[in-house]
Amino acid sequence: MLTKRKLSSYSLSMPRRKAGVILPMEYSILSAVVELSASETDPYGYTIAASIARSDESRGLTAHGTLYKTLGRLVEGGMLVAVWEAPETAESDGRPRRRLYEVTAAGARALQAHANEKLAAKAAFNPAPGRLATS
Amino acid sequence: MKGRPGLLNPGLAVWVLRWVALYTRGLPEAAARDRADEIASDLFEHNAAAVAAEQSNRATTVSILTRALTGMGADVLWRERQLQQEHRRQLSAASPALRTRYSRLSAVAVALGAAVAILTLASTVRVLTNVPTAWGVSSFTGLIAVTLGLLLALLALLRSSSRILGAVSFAALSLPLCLTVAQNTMYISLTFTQVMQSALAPFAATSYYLAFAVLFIPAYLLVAVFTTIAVRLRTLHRRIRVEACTPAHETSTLY
Repeated sequence: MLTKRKLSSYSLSMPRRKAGVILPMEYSILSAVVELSASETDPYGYTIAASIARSDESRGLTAHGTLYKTLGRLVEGGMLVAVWEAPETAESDGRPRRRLYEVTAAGARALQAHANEKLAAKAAFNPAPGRLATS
Repeated sequence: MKGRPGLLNPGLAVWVLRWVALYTRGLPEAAARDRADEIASDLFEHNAAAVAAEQSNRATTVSILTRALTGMGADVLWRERQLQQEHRRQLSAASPALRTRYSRLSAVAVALGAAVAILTLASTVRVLTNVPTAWGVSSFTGLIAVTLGLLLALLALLRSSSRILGAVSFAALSLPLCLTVAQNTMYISLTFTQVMQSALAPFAATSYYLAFAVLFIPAYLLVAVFTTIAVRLRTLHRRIRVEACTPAHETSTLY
């Protein structure tokens, strides 16, 4: 039976797309956070934008609106966790405090699934030369 | 972040933060503060990286400005989403009776708005197909503008965060709508024109102004209905907000 709880107007967590499916920008951000964490660099807004720009030279730094909107969506979707660093740390360094991001297990799974999909799509468009029709 | 001495372009940073303050106005305090702090940090780090890379002031300014300008659309969409989430949160915390009243009023507003917009669109299509092509579209600019305005108002009416704006827009467009339809009646339907003329004839016999006033009765009704809807929606929004901010045991004493 349809209840008001099931209607999107009354639900905060109404999924808009299939769980675990990520968009290209979300993939770029998750990859950047993983890379930054691996290189022991704090993943926060600017370093994530710089990392994306480094990995794809045709792209400049991601726009503020696009970057923070996507980061917010990934946090809401449980793929990233965001923590504000301690104000004392920022104060001692003489800069505004940073919001640090970390990839969750769900985020890592989504990243892996997207990477596999990309590989499969690439393989489908690159047939082995020996199998090409010659006649 | 106010004009720090180390910033390459403090004026630009202030401008970007003003834009942030503008699009976060009216949002839940935590969301607005998080976004403002995050952008302030981004501007600082961007500037620090530019200084470290010995990038020119001009290149840094262009880069920050480009990031701010190209992200404006996403900022507006983010704001819209935050408003919708907040509205849904408040609505889910409101009493079932209030939720039902809000849903019914919204359904009436959307149904009425859709009916008016669809009828207007159909009339505009008939006018544009029934007039000689030599006349050109410019002769019907008013009708086309009103139709587009009504379609935009319908879009606003469909979204919970802009429903009041949609109802007000319908009320504001009702008089221009009636005027443009009256001007083009013979291109919409000849039968309708004859019915209208015979209905207005007794009034026109008394006074031309009286007939004109009677002609606009549908417009007055639409203005009255949509204004009432907008006022009631605003009242319900306020009550929903109050209930969302008040503990459950206290809400019964509010009304």
